Amino acid sequence: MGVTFEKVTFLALGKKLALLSVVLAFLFGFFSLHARADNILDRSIEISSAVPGEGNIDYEIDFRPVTASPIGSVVFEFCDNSPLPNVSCSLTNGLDITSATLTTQTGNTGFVVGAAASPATQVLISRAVAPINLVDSSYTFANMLNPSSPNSTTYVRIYLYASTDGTGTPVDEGSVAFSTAENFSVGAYVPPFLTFCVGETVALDCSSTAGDLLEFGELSESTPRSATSQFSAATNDPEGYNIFSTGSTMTSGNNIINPLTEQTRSISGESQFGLNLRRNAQPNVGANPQGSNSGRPANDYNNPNRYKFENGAVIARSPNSTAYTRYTVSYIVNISEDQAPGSYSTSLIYTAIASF
Amino acid sequence: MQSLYTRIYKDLRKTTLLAQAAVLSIATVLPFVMMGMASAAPQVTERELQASTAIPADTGVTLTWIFDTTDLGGATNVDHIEIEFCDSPLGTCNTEDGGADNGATDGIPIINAAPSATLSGPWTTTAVTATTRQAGDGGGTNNQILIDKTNADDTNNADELQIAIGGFTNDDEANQSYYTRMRLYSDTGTTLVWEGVFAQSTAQTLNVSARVQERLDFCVGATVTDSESANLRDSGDTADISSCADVDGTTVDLGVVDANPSETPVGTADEGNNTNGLALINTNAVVGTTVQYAAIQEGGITNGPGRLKVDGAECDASATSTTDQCFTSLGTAGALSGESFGMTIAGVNCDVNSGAGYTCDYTAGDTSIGPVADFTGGTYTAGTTGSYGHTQYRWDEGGSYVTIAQTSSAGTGTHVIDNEALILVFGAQAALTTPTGLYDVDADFVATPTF
Repeated sequence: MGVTFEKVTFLALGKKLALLSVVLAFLFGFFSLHARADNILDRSIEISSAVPGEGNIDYEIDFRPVTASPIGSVVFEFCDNSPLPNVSCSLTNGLDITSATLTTQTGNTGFVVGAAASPATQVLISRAVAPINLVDSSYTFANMLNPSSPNSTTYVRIYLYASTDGTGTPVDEGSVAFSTAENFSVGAYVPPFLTFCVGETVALDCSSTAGDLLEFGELSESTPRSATSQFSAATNDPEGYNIFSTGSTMTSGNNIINPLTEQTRSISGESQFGLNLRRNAQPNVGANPQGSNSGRPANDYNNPNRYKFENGAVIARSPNSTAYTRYTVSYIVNISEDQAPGSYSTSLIYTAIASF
Repeated sequence: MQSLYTRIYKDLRKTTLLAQAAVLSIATVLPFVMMGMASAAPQVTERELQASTAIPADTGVTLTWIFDTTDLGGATNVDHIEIEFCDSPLGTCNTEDGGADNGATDGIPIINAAPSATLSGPWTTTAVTATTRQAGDGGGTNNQILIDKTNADDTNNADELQIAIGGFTNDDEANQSYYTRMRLYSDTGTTLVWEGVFAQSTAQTLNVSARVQERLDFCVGATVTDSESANLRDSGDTADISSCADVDGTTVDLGVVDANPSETPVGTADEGNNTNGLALINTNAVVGTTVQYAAIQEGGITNGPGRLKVDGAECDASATSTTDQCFTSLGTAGALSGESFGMTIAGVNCDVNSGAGYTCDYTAGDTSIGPVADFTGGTYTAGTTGSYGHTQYRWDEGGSYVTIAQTSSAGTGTHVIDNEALILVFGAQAALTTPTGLYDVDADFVATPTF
């Protein structure tokens, strides 16, 4: 009885032990099937351009090996589906690595491009088997053609082999990734512009103007009367601008003050109406142009103490695009002793034209 | 009888072989199995042998015997304790030298030449006069430890007595079981009062591994979003962006640029397209990531091919000319003034960040990636603070890649980037003499993660 009890106990326990041992053996077997190469460190890929479909691109792949074991070849496998080793690799659309040349290598060197098992997805470099240095290593490949799709990620699996032809179990491995990106464009429009302002006084940049009426006071046959106004102009027209003056001389009904048809000095006692764009001494009136030197008075209005008036004449110009130039218009009025009495006036229109 | 004995013997043998194959699971079961066998003294019960580590060849291993003593009907002293290391629970010990060899397949560890035992639990006294390594009573060399208690005192019916001895070196073979036969004497080794066998084993180290694949999602496009926290929207403001699949647009339009600064997003009233630039990144690169850009060089142009310029126009040799059909690039970070063009990162938008790994907050400086100094439009100090803005711009027209953003662990404590979006703002200002025309420039953006 006691023996029978022990026998049953042993058998029952034995079966459980057998089952457990099978389970453990399976687990041990399962875990032992997947021995893997070590993961290389500090790995990256830098591409010289991320533009989809771009050719003549450089791919620089950096990594640091971790296993001190002789190495004869390195395989770089380009896949768009997964970075995982030993998973089937699908070629990234448009990517062409078949013309790859190794232009630079640092760290572990002595490699040349060799025959890869799958040239469409792999680049193989090989050398005579030599010890590996556990240092940062870099390999630059030229003549790469980028994948054709924008914003697509490509994985590069890196395998280090003891063999010289990329066969056998990798000693070290790892993966990196890069992405194409759409070309990005920034646009702007600079419109043609001409800035022009007129007033009794104006700011250089036309930010303000003041006054539109000039008062000469009582005219005299012995003393010239004078006044000033200003205008300022700027343009981005490469041909610059012309500024015209249109209007008549000063009149009072049918009585006129003679316009100076030629450049003439101020003569008291003669009927004269004229202007220039300079600082004058006779009489003491006006200022030279200020601001950009590109703009300047027209020749007939560019002499101090010489005045002229011609309806519709160009009185100032710039031959090219220019920043602001502020002109001061000097007016003189002289009358003869037989000038008919009256209130004399005129209206002048200044016009700036750019051609673009 | 004979056939029955044979069957029992075979069953026993088979069971023993199976027990050895799965020894890890039966360290506490085996004593139950063995209870049916006859013994010379009462058994210590509830016995277990704990090892600080079962890794093969590990040194500095501590073994702790834990057991109960049965009630023998009265006070029962324990003076000497023997612990014999054997390759089997019964019979002759077939072991190598327990003091030296852990390369044999007997499983027993190397025993310290001068072991030291520590008693704990409900002993009447725990003081030990000496702990000695000696030859085993059942055979073997240096495979037995003798513990001489200072006081021989009552240990009857005690629960969870413990004896700990350190300094063992495990056998260097995995999955090797061994047994320790413990004998408690009331005197110096003649009168056996309790005994029991404990089992242990070295164990196979299980290496559990998994592979998380490298990941990089990077894309560049346009967005109407103009802050670090607002919903990240696509270029047409028709949908939220949740990933690169939703990013669209390849053009940012500054619209009409005159003598006043023009900064994106420029509304349609000013001939703009109401967008900023956008670079969205998601990667598990743990070492770090940089984002760079390069001005694409217009072919056939000698001077200034990488400037904001009219297509086909040759730029003046002077980089600062304001009369050619080329904007002056802000080669050094600065504000827009005169004729100038540049780009900046106004901020990092965290709207699409999942929050699963870390909390992304640009205003707190808590982003994995941030702008470098010259491309910080507002302010940014990783781990401290950040503000959205565009007080400075820069444009490198030469065509070489320039870093505009990089990861820092000072913010989120990691270099991993979970959907952080760089908001790219462009600015331009024309001079009074900047010729009229349609200007544009193309840029190429690259993300380089290091795993």
